[in-house]
Amino acid sequence: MGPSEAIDGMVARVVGAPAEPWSLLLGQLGRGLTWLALVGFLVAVVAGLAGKEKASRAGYLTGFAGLLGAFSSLLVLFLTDQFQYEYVFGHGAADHEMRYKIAGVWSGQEGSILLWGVCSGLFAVLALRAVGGLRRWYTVVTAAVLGWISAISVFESPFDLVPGSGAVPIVPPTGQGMAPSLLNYWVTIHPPTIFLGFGSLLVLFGWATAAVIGRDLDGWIKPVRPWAITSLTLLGLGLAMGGFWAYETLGWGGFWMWDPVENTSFVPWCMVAAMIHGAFIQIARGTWRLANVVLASAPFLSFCYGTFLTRSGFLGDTSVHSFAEMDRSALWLLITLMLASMGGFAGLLIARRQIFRKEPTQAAPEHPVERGNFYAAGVWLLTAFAVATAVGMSVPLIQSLSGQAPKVVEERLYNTVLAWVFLPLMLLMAVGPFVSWRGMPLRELVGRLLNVLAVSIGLTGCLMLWLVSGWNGFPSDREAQTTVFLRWTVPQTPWIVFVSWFCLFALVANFWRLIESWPKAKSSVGPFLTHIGVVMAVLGLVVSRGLEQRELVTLNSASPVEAFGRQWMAVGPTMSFADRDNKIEVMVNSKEGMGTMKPGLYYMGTNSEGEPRPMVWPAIDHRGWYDLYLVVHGIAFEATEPTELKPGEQALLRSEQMLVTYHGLRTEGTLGTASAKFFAKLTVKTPTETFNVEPMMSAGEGRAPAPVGDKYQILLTRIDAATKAAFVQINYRQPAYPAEIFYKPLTLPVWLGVGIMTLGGGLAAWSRRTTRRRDPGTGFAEPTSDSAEKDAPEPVAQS
Amino acid sequence: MGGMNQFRRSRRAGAFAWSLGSVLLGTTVVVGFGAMVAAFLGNASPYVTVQEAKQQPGDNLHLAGDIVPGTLKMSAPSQTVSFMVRDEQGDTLPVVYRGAQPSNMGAATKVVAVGGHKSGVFEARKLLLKCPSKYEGS
Repeated sequence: MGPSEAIDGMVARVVGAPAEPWSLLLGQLGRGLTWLALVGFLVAVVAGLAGKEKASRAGYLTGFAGLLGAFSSLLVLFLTDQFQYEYVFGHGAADHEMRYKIAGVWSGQEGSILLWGVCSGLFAVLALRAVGGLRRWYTVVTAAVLGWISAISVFESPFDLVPGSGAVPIVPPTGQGMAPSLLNYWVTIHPPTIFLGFGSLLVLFGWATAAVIGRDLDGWIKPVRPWAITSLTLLGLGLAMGGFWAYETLGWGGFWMWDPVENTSFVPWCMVAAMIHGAFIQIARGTWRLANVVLASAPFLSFCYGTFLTRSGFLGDTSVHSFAEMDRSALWLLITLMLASMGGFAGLLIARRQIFRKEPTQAAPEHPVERGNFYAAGVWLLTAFAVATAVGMSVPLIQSLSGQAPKVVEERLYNTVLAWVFLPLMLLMAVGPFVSWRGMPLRELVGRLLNVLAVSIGLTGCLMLWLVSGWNGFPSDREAQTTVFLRWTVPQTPWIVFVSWFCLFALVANFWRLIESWPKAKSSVGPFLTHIGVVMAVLGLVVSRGLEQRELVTLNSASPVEAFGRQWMAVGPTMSFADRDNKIEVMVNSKEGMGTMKPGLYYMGTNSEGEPRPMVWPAIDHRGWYDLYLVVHGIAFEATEPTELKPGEQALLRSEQMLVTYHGLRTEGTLGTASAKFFAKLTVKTPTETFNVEPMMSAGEGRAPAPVGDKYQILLTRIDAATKAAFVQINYRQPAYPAEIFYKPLTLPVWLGVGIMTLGGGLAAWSRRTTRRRDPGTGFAEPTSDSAEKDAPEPVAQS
Repeated sequence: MGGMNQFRRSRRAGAFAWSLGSVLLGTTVVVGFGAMVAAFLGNASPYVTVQEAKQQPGDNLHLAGDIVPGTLKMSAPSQTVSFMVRDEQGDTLPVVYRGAQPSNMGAATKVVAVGGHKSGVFEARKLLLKCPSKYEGS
């Protein structure tokens, strides 16, 4: 919080009521609980290292209870408007609805770190039983991380009172509230979902490292799978919600724009997907033991790296998200956490390198065309996708570390570079499901794929026809061009259709396999559904972003404006312009009939020039095959800027639609007095009509504009007495609304795909859950799994 | 005996194929990674000063600076936003952006204009705004 806000706070305190004692106690309790969490997790680490099972578990559960309690305390402070707390004051407001009061908890840095801790703790505790024999080291590793997060919460506490509070703080009547652009239902549901996804990554990391420390690289891979799939599903759903939020909020460039914050969750998502496919290889062949340990840890490590990158200030101007910089000591804790977990993990792998050497339990078939190789290729491509994204988002850091001028990676560069990985990945997703574990000749594979290929090409043709003809929509722009692979300029529509074919190929292939395998193997329904969902969503993203069209128009209530084969006409505001829920009613007339759209527009405060500041929300008309997306940017009366004309001069105004001729000045009344009136003798020619008009201005009586048709009027804004020059301006007779209209084809698959993906993920996780082993052990006994490794030195703790 | 030899030979051939595969995979990974980093670094949009903006070609230059007070003009009719930008060296350049004005335009003091320089004017295709209220730390 900056000094100005602190002063605001002090001013507000003067008129507030004294804080109630329980609220102060609750804040103290919350702060104490973060300390309790820190101590609890420390105990869990130390006791775990010493082999004291009960103490370790007690510390662990106490730590989680501390985090949960601190989070709940903060929630209560928000729900009961305790604005004497700096964090509540900065992010809450008395007039916020319940959902925004809840969302206030995580709308700032302190609260989101607490949310991260609670979500991580929740998953870590839930998985305690499932990890079975690896529990001891799993507890140590995850408790170390959770303790670290608790420490960040202790240093960057949301339970600080507003600075300068006395013994009995005064509660300001309201807080500053969330930024108006955040006030949207997604702020209540998106962050908890994505943070649950982030939290679940700790389970994978803890389990994988515990497997290495505990020297059991075979037992963990099956039971970890449902957890990994749950992670993938939650992250995927969270990412999608973020995308929908971005879509429904202006200026974020559609669903997805490769923003560093988006990438911070996308990279782990890719890595979890890679790990899930790597696990298949290990389960079938007994190989990829080292790879899977790395793949399971990479999501958590890359999330830590992304968080560091977005919070450290290195990204500066390159993100649409703007962050208050972290408290210095909290930032150092975060950096230490990242470096310690990365360094500790690498050190652990080196120390334990001998355990990764093991003969495969089952040899790979002679034929190279076998499922294992396809999974391997998939893992490589998914990893390449993640690494490329991570490199792209690190460019500002690389530049600044190497002392060079900062650079930014823009959305289109990501698209261009990632296309190299994306297209082969889609091919693999199409072909892979048809390849058997036993291996098959290439000819047989091609034979099985012919039908799928034919159907996908047919569908691609339909897509092309639909886009070009504009059937049930609007034809795509045939002139548009795009640059592909950093080199070639190609027509845009065929390029997008070409990319769509890759998606359709994968879509049809997985659908085909779903139907084929339905009667035999119900457990494969989940994976195929997930594939179908992902590909559908991506297809929608590619087409809706690649072929979106935009028109800038000025809507008014006098006559309709033409755009995308429709007539658009503003009716007017539904409420006052100061009301947050104000909408501009717009009539849309098309072949299908008349409809209305209601984009939001209200004014809040003033800008640095003293003008009222517009806040806007788009209106989206989901039409099935396409979306119409309308944003009204403000209210305007001027149709042109003032233009200077000397007697006898002409000017083309209003996009050359009006020819204005100035004949000279006529005066009435006594010059030099307030009653003097000046008339500009004008002829205004429009394409259809000619008007001879005399707009007037006077010192005493103001200005009298002269109407030019139904829609416009002409105004005399100023005269120059020396040259007799007149300044004229065309105004709208009714208020006009500068607006942006987007046509976005094929957005429905994005929404549908996300639903199918989530359903598929849920099914896949459910059907892969393992029934608990009879004697899971506690992990606190000596490892007995591998007698050959009994002579190895005593396991050392990860530092 | 012949079967044993054949087995040995196939094992040796397998080992050879395996190491060849590893080398190929390793080379692909290294070359691919290098190419990808080069593609990102080489084509990323540079941040430029006014002087550099005037000299460098391209429409992906990021010109960062302060909006010179009093020069901001937002014309709703033509949907253009124009202002003078002053970089850290103190050089100024007029910036024109065509499109709907960003909703928080008026509150912004610092701006990053993305675009290119054309005959004395920086034509922006995107404006990234910094609003003082969000930047508590600086």
